[in-house]
Amino acid sequence: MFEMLNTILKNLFSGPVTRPYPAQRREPFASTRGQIKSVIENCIFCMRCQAACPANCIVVDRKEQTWSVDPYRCIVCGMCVEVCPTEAIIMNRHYRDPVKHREPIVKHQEGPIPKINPKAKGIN
Amino acid sequence: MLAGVKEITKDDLLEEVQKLAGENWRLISITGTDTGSGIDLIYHFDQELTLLNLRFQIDYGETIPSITPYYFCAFVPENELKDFLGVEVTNLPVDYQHLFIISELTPVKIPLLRKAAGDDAGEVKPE
Amino acid sequence: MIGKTVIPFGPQHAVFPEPFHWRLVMEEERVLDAIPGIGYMHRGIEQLATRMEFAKTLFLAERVCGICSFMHALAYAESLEKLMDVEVPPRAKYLRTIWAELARLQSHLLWIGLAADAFGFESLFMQAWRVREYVMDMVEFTEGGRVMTSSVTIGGVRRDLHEEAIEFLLENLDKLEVGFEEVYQVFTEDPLIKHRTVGVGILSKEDSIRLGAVGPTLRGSGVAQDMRMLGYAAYGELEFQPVVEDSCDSYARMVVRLKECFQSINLIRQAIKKLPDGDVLVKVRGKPEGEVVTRIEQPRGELLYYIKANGTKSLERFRIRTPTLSNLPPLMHMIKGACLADVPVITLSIDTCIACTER
Repeated sequence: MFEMLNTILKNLFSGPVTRPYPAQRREPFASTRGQIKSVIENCIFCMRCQAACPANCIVVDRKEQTWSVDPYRCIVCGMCVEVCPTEAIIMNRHYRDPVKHREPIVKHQEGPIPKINPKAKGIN
Repeated sequence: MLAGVKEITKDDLLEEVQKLAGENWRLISITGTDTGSGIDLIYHFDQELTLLNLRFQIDYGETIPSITPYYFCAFVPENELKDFLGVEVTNLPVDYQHLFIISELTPVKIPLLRKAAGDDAGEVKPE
Repeated sequence: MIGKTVIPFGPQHAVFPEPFHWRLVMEEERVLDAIPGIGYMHRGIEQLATRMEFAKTLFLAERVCGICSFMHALAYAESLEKLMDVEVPPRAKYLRTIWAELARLQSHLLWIGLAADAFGFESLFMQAWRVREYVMDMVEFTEGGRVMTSSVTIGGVRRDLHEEAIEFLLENLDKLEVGFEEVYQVFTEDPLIKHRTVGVGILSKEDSIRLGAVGPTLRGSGVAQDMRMLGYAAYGELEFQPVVEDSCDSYARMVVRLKECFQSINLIRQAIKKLPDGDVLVKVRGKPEGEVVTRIEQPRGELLYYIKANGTKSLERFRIRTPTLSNLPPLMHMIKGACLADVPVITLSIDTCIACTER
């Protein structure tokens, strides 16, 4: 009986555990894998991300200088980020926003392909 | 290589299994593999964390006896064998008629057989 | 004289989160015979794996199940490491242990919530899931994803635990323990829960071995078998004993899971205390060849991976035997003779996970 009273009092004087969601959002943790973002200026079109992607969602076209990802096929495993020698793909910690139409994200690079030494980062 | 393998023949199977059932071994599962020249069957058993594998090979289309008289639970992996590799099992107490896990709508019948994969069995690109 | 009635139970039913069908042959209120029907979600993962690169199959294996995703990735990585003779660094082994126990905690707490919901204890369900949120936070903080963690790779792990993460883990473990203690008390002391579970779904010790039960179902029947005793990852260096209950009913299986939560908390603390320094990843070269059987303890029981590779970039055979598949025959045995009203509770008591069963 007193145990119950204890619980009732505790519940009366403590706030809710949940958050009023759309008004107040929890920041994702620093290491959360939310979505991949391309920094196309750094891209040297080495095709490593395309080869490493387990979901086959990345298509790199060296001739056209385009890099595209199908975000609805992407499983956000982070393999492309790991293999990228020039940090042209980065992991963003915020989840992808909902959209009305499914479209791949296509990035086009202007000008000549940058000469960045892939060994600079020490990967591969 | 695989540890704890005991090579047997199809005719010895029931005898061996009966012996294991008497010694209180637990049936883990039955694995079938299409080797290209036939089907390789492994019966996995466990006792106090020790693994024992009974292994034998059969030809395509050959039937195997069910071990359900000794291990009733074997009907699950045996139905799986029927579904995935087309191995016919005699005296099955619960027979799903090739529809245990796959359904009538599955595009490829007997999906784990090599010939079912067809000529285009390259690396798949998911749609 | 009343004839037999056949009642289809499922595939859509309020207590099952997943499609699972029972064909119940009833005589009045008693179940005479029960035949399970699965196969509503078969995805053909075993076949797909034979056509993918073995390194990418890791992510496919992880997607076999949505709850124990980490365990599948762990089993796959362990198998390939055995095939390719890779020695994983000790720190990676301990990290794997920590994450595997977190996965077990979240799976058990999920089940505890669902079980409470099946008994009709709505608020207890919410309390259990509130406590589970601490675990999910730990998983997200340390691994980067709440469900699909992608933190294991062949040759080690992909993330390291830094100081801040360890502090976060220890802090949340304390909160979790306090919160879980309350839930545990309700489950072990409440007369209504006992009324629903004690003596329901009896599976004797002999039957459990003969019918091939695994995991908490086997341990709830008094058999001390836990695949963690095989000593994969860092389990060989940590101190624990399998949780065993002797009463052989649904209540025993529930208590095994509840006690395993405390055991997991204890194991994580031990692993953090012993966490060695050093690398977490070794480079893996070459292609796998040979065949291997790996058994690891999933939250639901023993998971068997059989992998056969022939030195090419794809595997020749990838066989998964998930715990629920093994627990189906014992479940059929338990349901025979039960009341119709007890069928949902008994079915839940083995913690069915149909998604992994159908691969």
